[in-house]
Amino acid sequence: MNRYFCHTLLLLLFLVNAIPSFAQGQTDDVILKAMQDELNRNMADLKLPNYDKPFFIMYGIQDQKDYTITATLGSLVRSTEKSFRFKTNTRVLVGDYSFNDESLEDNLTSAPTALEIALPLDDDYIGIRRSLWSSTDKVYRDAARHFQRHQQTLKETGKALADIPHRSFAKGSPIKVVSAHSPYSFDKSKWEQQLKKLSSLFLHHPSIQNSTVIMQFTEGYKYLVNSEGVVAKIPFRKTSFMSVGQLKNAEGEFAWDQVSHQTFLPDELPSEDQLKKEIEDMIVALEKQLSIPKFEDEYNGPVLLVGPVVADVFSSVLFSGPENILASNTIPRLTGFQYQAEPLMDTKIGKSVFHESLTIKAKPKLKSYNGTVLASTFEIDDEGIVPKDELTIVEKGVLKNLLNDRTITHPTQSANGFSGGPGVLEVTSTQKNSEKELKEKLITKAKSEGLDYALIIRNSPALMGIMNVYKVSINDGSEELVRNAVYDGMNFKTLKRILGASETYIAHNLNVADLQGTGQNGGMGSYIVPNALLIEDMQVNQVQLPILKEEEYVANPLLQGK
Amino acid sequence: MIHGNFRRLSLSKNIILSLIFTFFATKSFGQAQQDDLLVIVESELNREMTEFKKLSQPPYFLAYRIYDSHSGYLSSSFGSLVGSDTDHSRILVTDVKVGDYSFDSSHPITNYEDFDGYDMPGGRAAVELPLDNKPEAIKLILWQQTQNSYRQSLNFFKALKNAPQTEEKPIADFSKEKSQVFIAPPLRDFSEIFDAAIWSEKVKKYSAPFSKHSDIIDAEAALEVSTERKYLITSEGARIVQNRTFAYLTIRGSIRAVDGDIIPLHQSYFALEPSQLPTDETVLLDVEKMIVKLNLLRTAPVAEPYTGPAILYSRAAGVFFHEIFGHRVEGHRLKDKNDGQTFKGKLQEQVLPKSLSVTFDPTLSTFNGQPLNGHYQFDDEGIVGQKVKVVENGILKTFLMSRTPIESFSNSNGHGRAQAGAEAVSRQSNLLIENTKSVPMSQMRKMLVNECKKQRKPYGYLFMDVVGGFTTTNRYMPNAFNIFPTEVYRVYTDGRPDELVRGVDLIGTPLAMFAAIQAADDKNEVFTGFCGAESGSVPVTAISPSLFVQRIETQKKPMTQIEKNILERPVIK
Repeated sequence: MNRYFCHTLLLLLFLVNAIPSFAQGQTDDVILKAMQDELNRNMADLKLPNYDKPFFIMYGIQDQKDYTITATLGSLVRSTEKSFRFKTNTRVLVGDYSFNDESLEDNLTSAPTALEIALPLDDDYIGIRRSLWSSTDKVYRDAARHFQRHQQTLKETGKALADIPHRSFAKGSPIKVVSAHSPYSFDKSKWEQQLKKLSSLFLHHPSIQNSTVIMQFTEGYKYLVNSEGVVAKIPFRKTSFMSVGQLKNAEGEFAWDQVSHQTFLPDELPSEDQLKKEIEDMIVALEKQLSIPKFEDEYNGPVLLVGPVVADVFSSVLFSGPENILASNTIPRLTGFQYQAEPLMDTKIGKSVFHESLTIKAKPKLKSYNGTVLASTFEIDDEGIVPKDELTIVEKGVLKNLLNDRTITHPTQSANGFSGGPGVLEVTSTQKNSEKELKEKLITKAKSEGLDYALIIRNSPALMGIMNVYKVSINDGSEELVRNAVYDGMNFKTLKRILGASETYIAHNLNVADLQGTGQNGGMGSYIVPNALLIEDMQVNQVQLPILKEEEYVANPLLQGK
Repeated sequence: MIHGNFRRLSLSKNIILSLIFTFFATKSFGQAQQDDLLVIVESELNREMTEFKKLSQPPYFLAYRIYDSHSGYLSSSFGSLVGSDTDHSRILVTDVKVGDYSFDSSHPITNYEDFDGYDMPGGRAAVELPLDNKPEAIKLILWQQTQNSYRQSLNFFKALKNAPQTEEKPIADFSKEKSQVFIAPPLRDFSEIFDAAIWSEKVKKYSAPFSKHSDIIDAEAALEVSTERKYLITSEGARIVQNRTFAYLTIRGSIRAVDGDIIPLHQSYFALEPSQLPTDETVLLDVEKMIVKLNLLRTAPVAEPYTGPAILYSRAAGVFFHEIFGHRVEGHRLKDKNDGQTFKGKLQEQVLPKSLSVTFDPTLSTFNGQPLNGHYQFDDEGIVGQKVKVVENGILKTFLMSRTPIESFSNSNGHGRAQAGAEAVSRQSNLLIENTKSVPMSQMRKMLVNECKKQRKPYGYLFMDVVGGFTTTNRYMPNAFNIFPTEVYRVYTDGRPDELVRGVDLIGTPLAMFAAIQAADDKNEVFTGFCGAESGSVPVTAISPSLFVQRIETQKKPMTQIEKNILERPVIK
């Protein structure tokens, strides 16, 4: 119980357009100076009588400004500008790196008291120190008492520390990274006008009953200092754009679709004309959606994935299930109720987990790929560890490394700088096929399995994972679009049998699955993947969506008289 | 932590009534004039009603309530700005009634077993309306909400008609009232009223003095500013556009007592606009007084549970009346079979001492120069707010009425109130306690001492100030109240000086308390706040003289203990 984590808005670090400075000595940044001074004071003087002093303290602060604009049918619904400054992490460890207050239990979070002092929004040196002082005191008390209890527990076991499951804390190195944003001024009025214009496109389509266009621009700094000499001020910027439409037909069936983009700066979004075209295309597709036949089958067989869905599948397999590429932080309890632990991924290192054609590397510092911004790039993780430029996770199907933070629970683990998630993952395949070849392989495989048809997925799953898929005739290769399908049962075995991969590679920025509930990557992930992937065996099911058949008593005002 | 908090709890409906004290006053009313939003909404309402007439079971009533609100919020802690926010929103609430005035889709359910979940009304969900006055977007949302509300009301109405009717004397569901038309002049631009930069510096200044005292572990100054233009457009012809503005400044400090208990004190100020709030000098003087009082509380003894005589100073008495009396004369409760219905069947009976009268008066905009939070021209059902003397010379005369009739009362008296998103029910406004037999405070103190001696108590209690309270009125929990005093003294019978104590809550049950009121003075004071209940949070005030009560009961407050920090708070050297 020795740290506070803020589980919201811990964004990965967006470094494009940042001006880094690797300076020496004391900083003149008020926030950093307050963090360092309070940290130094606590390291020197914080001690409860009869308890140990802390050996490690770390402070994280995030300072950000959010602009959110929402428009519907040509009108503004909300336009807000909000400033936030919050503590992302107050970590105080008592003991030493190998045995400390976190070593023998899984509950590591101190509950804040009702009298927690908030961080000032201004660069108020004393106010910032006051806020850190209040949380440090609480976290230290918990840590000191837990460590003493852990010492007693260890003594009672009569065993050496190495002989019992425990958690240690990896040592870090000092580093100073102080970067600043390049100048940028968000033109709120311009974007309000643009969103109103884009949202007015739905006015001509009254069959779409609900529509909205939302844009959020967030910029700020992430601050980190620790007692090992880490001093970091990292700028970040993120822009999200989304246009959503939803309709319901006379039979009460629902359909929805969206256009979304994620960039660093608003000006990096597609042009207004391009966004307009994308929304118009989405509207056309949405209006046709409910006339598409439903997928009414339970399919097991080869599936060709094309486009962003390839990244979706990797995200799902690598992070969503009990098998994943994250090092475990949990330890079995020494006494009392014990339960079946999650599969220990550390024991799979060196073993074949995926098809031999696949290699997966984390490239956290890569900022763009073929002109596409990689929104999840970062240079230093949330615990002050600088990752290598490249970490091989899987090589020719064999698991080589897991993404880890500074908590070590297995001898194979090391702190490799991924406490906030993968950042950028690059998936490569030794297979090089054209999409024509992949489709031929798909049909051949389906025929060999005695299937009536094969499947191609070209759309990313939408709400609830529902998507349109293409049924491919095994006789003539013709394709029929069907709706209400969902892929299921994705796990490591899904990627064990790969029949082919595209020779072209594309980068995608995804809202990835929450990393084991930590939320530390802000739900983002950047993927460089083959544009197409042929999986030998995938399960695709039909979805029975609820129908809400309702009488329309009064005509839609936008339709009346038309 | 919220200032001035009254709450009422009802198990059956999860009702929580809370009262927080603020100041406000309405703008002066002007001549009717063009209001673009009103024109758009009126046009869609007329279209809807015309189209509905083609149906076999059209709604007989349609109303749109729209709250167009600008708000600003600033907060500081120990002199540092820690919160800053502004917002502009438009919230729409749609009400569609099916049936007729005597029996409609709002008819109370007598037996829940007669209904399945699909029949039950889904409530008045609030939705956001666009901020621009563009007809297409606004009309589309109005239409969608109307469709949904009508669908729900129609289904529920059909279910109600099919359910067994058990009422002996049917009472109408909705009263027929005269429709009003009133359009207030446009509000001033919010930026003219609220300068966030100036007020950021002020709120920082107000919480800074607390930082000099190491035992004070929490200190906050917060300002909430709001301007609201509220629309009501009904199919009966009501066209009401009212304005409301307020500025609410609160100061809060908490000290760690010698035994580790955390003791808070609160101070609040209300005005129509920030510029009308007290000067910095006044606020800072009050902050210094609060610090002095906090330091006295630090070493004050903890009060033990007690029953015996007490004096409730006027602000405490106002909260006391709001909780034990006010909630029990809200008329709609008499129609609710789950409610305790304390006063049902007590009309024309004596319920309070003959010297006391109780009036609810939303037409009163100020009292002794202070703006009153419970003032309004029209209630949230479009009815003119009326002065209602509920108790005259101790005799119960009437109830607070919304458009929900009850036995013997078929019309509203302008007390149908609701927060954005909720359905209006009868609620309190400005509560005034009038006393015809004034007893000076000095005399009341003597009465207290004499009564203590009679009851063989070494001391009585003096409740100087409170922060709020709550009560329950349903039949499933004790019909009790709980008031949260912040400044309480023991008054000793042996002539010792009054002794400040801490850690005490005032508790009791209503009927026992009514009978125990022995005397009141003539020094009325205003307690201003917000009251939360089933129709949300509504602004109210309670104005009362101080009371001498023959027997009250107290219980210990829950303790909040936080250890003293190991290191000293960082300060500027």
